[in-house]
Amino acid sequence: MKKIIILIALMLLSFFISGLFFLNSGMFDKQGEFNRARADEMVFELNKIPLINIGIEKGDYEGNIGES
Amino acid sequence: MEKFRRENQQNIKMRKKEFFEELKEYLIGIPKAEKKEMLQDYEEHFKIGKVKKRSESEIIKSLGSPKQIAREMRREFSSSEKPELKSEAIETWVATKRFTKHLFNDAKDKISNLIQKDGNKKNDDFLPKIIFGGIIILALILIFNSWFFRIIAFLIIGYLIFDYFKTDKRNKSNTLKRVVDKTISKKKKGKTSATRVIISLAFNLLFFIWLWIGLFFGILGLFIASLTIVISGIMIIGFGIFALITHSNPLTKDILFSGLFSGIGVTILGGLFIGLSNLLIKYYFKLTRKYIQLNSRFIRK
Repeated sequence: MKKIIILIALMLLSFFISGLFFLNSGMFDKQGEFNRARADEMVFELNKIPLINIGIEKGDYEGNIGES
Repeated sequence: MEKFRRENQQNIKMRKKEFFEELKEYLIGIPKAEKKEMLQDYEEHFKIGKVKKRSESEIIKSLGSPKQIAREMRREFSSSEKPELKSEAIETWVATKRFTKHLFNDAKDKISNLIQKDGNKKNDDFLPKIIFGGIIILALILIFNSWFFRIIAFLIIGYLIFDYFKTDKRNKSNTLKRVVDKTISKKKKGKTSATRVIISLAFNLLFFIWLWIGLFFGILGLFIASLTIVISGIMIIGFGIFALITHSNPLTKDILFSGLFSGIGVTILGGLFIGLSNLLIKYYFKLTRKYIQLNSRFIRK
């Protein structure tokens, strides 16, 4: 039981840290608005990495990410 | 007095035989060499005990139950990572096998008694009659256009024929004596009611078996889904680390770290689900065994 509680706590902590990194990445600005230019740059950089290539061309993700 | 002593000795002999038979049944999944060595070891225990003038029942008591012995052996020798779970599965299998055997044996006894009451027919005739009757009943099942029923029917027919030849070979001359002895010994434990056997079989085949199969596949599905979650989590971690090492970039660093941590979270989540499915499987086996015991209690008067 103790092990399970520790694992659940670790899992929540991992998701929380992941969220913090995501917010820190600059995808959304301080007002909570989606930063399109920054996202473009990021996608461009991520596409350079083999295996991770997310397959989205620059500026072609609007429909996928949201209307904001 | 002499007769009683002889009968008593026979009874004890049966106990030792039963002990070894039960032990062999439970020792599934243990390497052959270890199994053989262990059986010889226990045989030796009996020999030493006999020299010390201990009764066989006393020796059996000191050795412990075959189920417990097999569990300990599995803990020691099994290649499985979860010997406890494997033991649960094997014990359920043995219980199912015994229950089925018990049902068939009792049905045979019942009909043999009826034949004996009705006339002076030879006792050996009852086995072919059972097989014939079984084939007719199962042929009716075959009328249903279902592959599941067909496979089950063929399995039952196969078992009946196999069992007939096996029993016939082993007890060529004294089938009558065996059946009478069995009936007498059963009377002590409680007789099986034919009506209850039919009710139990009908209920299980019509309702319970479907629930049982559904539950099993539900748990299996959960296990497979959990395994997939774990594998994807590990892949996310792997790719994340690879990307961070080979393509370190201030712009993507944060998003890659975010992916890495979510990978860790997903892996733990999958692991927890695997634990949950293991726990469910364990209780599933336990419940099945309890249900089989309940059935065997129900069919006895």
